[in-house]
Order: sequence, then structure tokens, then C-alpha cells
Amino acid sequence: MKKLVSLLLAMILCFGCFGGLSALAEEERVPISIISFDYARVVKEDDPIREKIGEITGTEVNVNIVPTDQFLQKVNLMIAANDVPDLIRFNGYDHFQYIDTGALLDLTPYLEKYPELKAVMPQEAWDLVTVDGHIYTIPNYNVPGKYSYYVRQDWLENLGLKQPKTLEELREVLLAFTYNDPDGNGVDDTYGLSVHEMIGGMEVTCFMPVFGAYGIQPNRFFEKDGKAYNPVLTENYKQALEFCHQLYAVDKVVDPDIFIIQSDAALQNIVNSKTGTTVGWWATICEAVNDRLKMPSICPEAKWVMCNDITGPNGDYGMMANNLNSFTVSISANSKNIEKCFELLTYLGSDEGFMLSCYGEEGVHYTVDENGKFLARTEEGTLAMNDMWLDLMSQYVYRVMEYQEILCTINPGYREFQQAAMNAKLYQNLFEGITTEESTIYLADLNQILLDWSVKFITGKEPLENFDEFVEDYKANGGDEVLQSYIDVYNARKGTNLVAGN
Amino acid sequence: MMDQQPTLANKSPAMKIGWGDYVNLGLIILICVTMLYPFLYLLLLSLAPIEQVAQGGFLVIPKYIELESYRYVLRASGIGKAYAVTITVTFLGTLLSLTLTSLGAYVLANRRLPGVDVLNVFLIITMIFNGGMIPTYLVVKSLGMIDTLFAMFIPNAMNTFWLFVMRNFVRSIPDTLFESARLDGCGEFGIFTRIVLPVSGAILASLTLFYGVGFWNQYFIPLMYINSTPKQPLQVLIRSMYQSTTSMTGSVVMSDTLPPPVESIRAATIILATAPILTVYPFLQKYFTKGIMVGAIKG
Repeated sequence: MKKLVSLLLAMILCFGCFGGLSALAEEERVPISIISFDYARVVKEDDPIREKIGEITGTEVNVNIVPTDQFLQKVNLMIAANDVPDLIRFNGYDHFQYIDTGALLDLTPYLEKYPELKAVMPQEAWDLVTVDGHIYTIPNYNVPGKYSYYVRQDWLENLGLKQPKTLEELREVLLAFTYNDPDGNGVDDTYGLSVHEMIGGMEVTCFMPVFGAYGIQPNRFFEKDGKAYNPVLTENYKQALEFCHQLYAVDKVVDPDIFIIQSDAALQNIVNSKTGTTVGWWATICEAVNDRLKMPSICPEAKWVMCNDITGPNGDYGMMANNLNSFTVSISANSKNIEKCFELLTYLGSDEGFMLSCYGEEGVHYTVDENGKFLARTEEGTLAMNDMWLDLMSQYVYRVMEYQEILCTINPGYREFQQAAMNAKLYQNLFEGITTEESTIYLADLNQILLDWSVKFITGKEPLENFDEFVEDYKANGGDEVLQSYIDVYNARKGTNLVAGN
Repeated sequence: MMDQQPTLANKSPAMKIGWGDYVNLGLIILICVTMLYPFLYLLLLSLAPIEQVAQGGFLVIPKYIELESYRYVLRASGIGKAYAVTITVTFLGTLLSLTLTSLGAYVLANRRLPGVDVLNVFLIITMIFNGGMIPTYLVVKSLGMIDTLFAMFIPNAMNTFWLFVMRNFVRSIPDTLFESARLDGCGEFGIFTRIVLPVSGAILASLTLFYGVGFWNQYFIPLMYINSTPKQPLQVLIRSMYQSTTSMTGSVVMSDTLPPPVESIRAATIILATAPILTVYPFLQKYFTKGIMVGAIKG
């Protein structure tokens, strides 16, 4: 018995040794933990692509996706408990509020050592995240031109009209679309203007081309002759509102539900030819309406044209610019694997890493043509894409121009839509990327005041003579403080000397 | 002799079925329909073909039954694991909670225990005040439970309200039962298992229901404490899937490809998340009303 036991123990000991040896023989893979807000992807457990990325970079990547509403709460908790993952992917410019906590690594000294990573983003993207010469996050440059104003080309042809280029022409087109039965079905069921969803978080942006024609876009602060102006307090905004009021209340060419309609119902209106024009994301018509909702099978004669340059009385035109940085990636200051994090990010930004993280493995998930350029997705690739795990790692170092190019290769029909939105003249926010204490306190209420008054002016509940009351209300609720705080931070960062214009 | 409520079936001829009864019936049917219709709508939505849903042409009867939405959701990676996690946590959590609640109730029911008043006040204070999110997180972290299944049912194992309900119930058991048990040589634990537990069947069933549903529906706690995807429970995974099928608006910037607004996929995820608990509920429901009132004052 004793012999048996000692023999057994000896065997176990040997196995233990072997086990230890085999562990040593395997390469040490550095675990990298990532946390991100929700970006419409799921983390697949045996993800072959994540595994391959880990193999090449010598890491083991673990991604944790937190729903956007609770994301910052969770980050707060982790920072308080000193339990921060290696990489944090922030929405927009949220990382600014965490710089003072010391939880984010100062990337400035490291960026010199990784020039390929620095080269992926243009300088203006880096400038937006530089504070006092220090950079605490890796920006992700995205093309700011994302919105277009879509008009039904076939309706224009049915009614013998041409593309609207001025506000007067636009008004005529909308009147015709509403009252002259453009789809020829004998029923008076069409409206000129509708909207597909809230854009930029504001319901009034359904009138984007009108605002652009008057030289402004809401919440896009601008500078003129050394003064910074809030666009919604200007005379231009009042004139734009007057035009919108004309369209909505007098001519009645606008969908009356335009301020409350939900995205899905609005898309249904578009698909069912209930509306002739709409403001939308560049992909709304080509992808959502045509591909997903299959409008061509319901209404094959429908054709769309983008009218992003409708000019106003002073010759102004343009669409609202989207933020340049859609998300940013920071590294935890207490991370034990800083160099590995940089290696991982540099790899993701390289040509090979970009293809792998966005499109999968060559031959398995996509095929290439004779020049080695992307040709088409395979069935396996399409399935993985639909299951939303194929490009999980693509959203960390985003090479937007190549991505858009390949997207238009897969879907050639998208190219004209993308180009139209990208090449539109844009109204950018002078204070992009700046969040101040005052804006955190006042901005939500100010936006609500803006919306309430704007809707009242447009629907006619308030006459436009009371525009000054709106301005007073806005300023009384912190409008001046917010503008001044923005100006102060801007001056400090850029070394300029702007003053408030209104 | 039991008094029977006069129902429509056994009303004596003297009590005729008047118009008042029809009004009642009508109102009740209306209320039932109001409550049932959203669920029925979701069910039909999840079974309807995607194009029909998106075009809004679908009212009550879908053109044909399509299971593609369910296939899409069930094919989602990790859903099997998420189900396993939720079922495990619900089972273990309910078991632990029932044990702790019943043991605690038995102890607190003893009015002669020295310091029992202090204990009661202490527990009431915890019902009202809470340490806050960050201190709780730090406590859970120091106990090494972060990113483990334990974090989902140990910190919140005991609900003070139910503890008191059960305590009141145990107090209502006549002392004579305990006395006679003690005379027969039963120890405290023996009394607990042989007298208290069998008598408390009704209230234990309703506790199972409340704790069980609570653990099944947990969302915020796993969100804060769980970091690795394989350990995420069902509700968190369902929520991520739901959010991935909606287009993002507001301050969240949209990605370059708009996700599909697929109503039926969303409906299917909701059905899959709630159906299991919905099927269990009716069986335990009859104990619900009995259980709530059981701790109340008796004559």
C-alpha cells in the first residue's frame, strides 16, 4: 500500500514537472484588457481574428463592452478602485474630464517612439486633443462631412422641376411635392420635407439646408473678426427660423410630426414615398433605405439626388459638420504593459493590421484581386459581419479613408452618396472638443430652451417678433457663461485673443 | 363552513345577473387586453418576416412565420454561456437568499433574545441608507469578488424587507408549538427544520419568486462588477444586442455603416430574455397573494 501511494505521488510529481516545462515552452503572451462603450459589435469568445492579432503582437486581448449609458459610471468606479484596464475607448471627447484624475497616461513622450501610429491620424486630429502641449489620448479622425439633403429626383422629373439651388427654388419644389401629387397615385398623401432622425442630438436639424443657406448651423460656434459668436443668437438664425416658419405653418409643406417622429417610422415614410426630401446621414438612402428596407422593390422608379448647396440671400450654403474625432483611445497610467499597448495599437494602425481587424483573414473572410487589393467578402466573412464580431478590433485605430474606399468597392452604389456628403461645404464647431464646467452645468438646459423656442417659432405658437425674448431667456440661463468659458479655454489652448461677439 | 363568494356561476336565483356584472366583465376584459396586447404584439413581431415589419404593413397576423430573428439571436456568440450564467446565479442566489432569510427571520422572531431590538433597528437603518456605489464597489473588490459570479449574488443576498415579512410570519406561529418541541428534546436547529420551515411553505414560495425574478433580471450589478464577456449574464448580453440593432443618436456618433432597424430582432431578444421567467411565474403565483398577507396581523 505504501509503495503504491509513493509511486502515485512520484507520478504526480513528474506530471507537475512536465506541466511546468510545457508552460515555459509556450510563449508568454501579455494580457491586455480593453474597455469600451457600445459600438454595435459583440465579443465572440473564440474569435479567430482576435486570436490572430494576439499571436502576431504577442498579446492576449480581452475586450469588455459596456452599454453607453453606464459606460462613464463604470469608468468612474474603476478609477476610484484603481482597477483600470489597460486601454479605455472613450466616446467623443469624454476623456478630457479624466485628465485631472491622473488615471490617463501622458502619451506625448511615447509618440516619438511610435511614428507610424502618429502618422495614421492627421495633425488637426492630434491638435484637438492636445492640452498644454500634452496628449492624453489617441484621436480617431473621421471625415466631418456626413450629412446630405436628399431630394426625390424622379418626383422632380415628374413635375418638370430642376434641382433646387436657392431657397426660393427649394420652396417651389416643396410646394409642388406637397400639393401636385408628385408620385402620380391620385392621393394627396405626400409632404415636401421630413426627417429621418434626430441629427447631432437636435430635432431642429431637420431644417439643416435652410440654416446653412443663412450662414449658420445650430451649435456650431464661429469666429468673425476676432469675435466668437453663438449661432443661435444671431440675426441669421432669426431669418432662418422665419423661412422655416413659412414652410411649416404657412405653406404647410413640412410633415407636421417632424419634431416628434421616431427614426423607424420616419424611414417607413421615406420607403412608402410619403415624403420627397429629407436630411440624413450619408448612408441613410443607399444603405438603410435601399439595402436594408429594400425600397427599390417597392418603388423601383425612386431616384435620389443630393442638394447640399442650396444658397440663401447672402450667398451662403452648407451642411453641419460632424465631430472630427468620433472616439478616442487612452492608456491607463498604471498599466503594467504600456509598451505592449503601443505595439498593439501600432499594429492595428498598420496596413496589415488594418486589413486583419476590419475585414478578417485574407482568403477566409475576403478575397483579393490580382493586385492584392480587396475584392469582395466571402460568405463566411459576410456571416461574421452580420453577427457583428468580424471587425471588433477595427474601431480602435480607424483608418477612415481606406475604410470608406473599400466600403465603396463592396457597394459601388454608395460612392456617390459618400462623396456628396464628404465634399459638402461644412460649418464646423470652433469649440470642438472643449468641455468646460459651465457647459456641463448649463448646456443641456440651454439646448432644451433652444429647442422649445425654435419649435414655437417654427410652428407659429410664438411670433418671430419675440426673438429677443428667446435671446434673453437663453442668456439668463447661462448662455453668456458657457460662451465665455469656451472662449477662455480656446484662448488658453491656442494662444488667441477672442472675445464674445453675442 | 366556507363562505363562497357569489360568482356568476353559482348566484342564487334571487341575485340576478344584472347589467352591473356585464360592465364589470367588460372592464376586466378591457384591462386584460391592454396588458396582454403588448406582449402578444412583441411575440408576433418576433415571428414576422423582416421586410414586412420594416415597411410597417403588419398589423396583427404576419404574412408567414419566420424564425430568422430567433436564429439570429441564438446564433449570437455567447448566448448559451449567458443563459448558463443567469440560470446558475438565479439558482444559487435564490438558494442562498432563502437560507439566509429564513435563518435570520427565525432568530429575529425570538423576542426574548438579548439585543434583538438593537439588531432590528440596525437592520432597518440598512434598509434606508446605503453606502453609495463607490464604497460598495471597494468592499466587493477587497473581498476579491470582482469579475466573478459571486459578485452577482453574494453582496445582495439578503433583502431586509423580506426578512421582516418572514420574521413577522414566524412570530405568528404559536409559542406552544415551540414549547412542546423543546419538551420533546428538540434543539433550536431542530425546531427550525421541523417546525418553522414546513409551516412557512407559502411564504418561502413567494420569497423564491421574488428573489428568483430579482436575480434573473439583474442588469446594473453585473454591469459594474463583471469585466469579462463570458461571465456576463443574459440581461447584459441582451441589452448589448438590442443596442447594436438600433441606430445610435444623440451624442453618440454613428459608425460609418448604419445598423439595421430590425424590429423583429429586438422583439426576439426581449422574448428570449423574459420567456423563461414568465413560464415559471404562473406556477408560483398562487402563493404570491397568500405569502404577502401571511405576515400581517391576525386576530
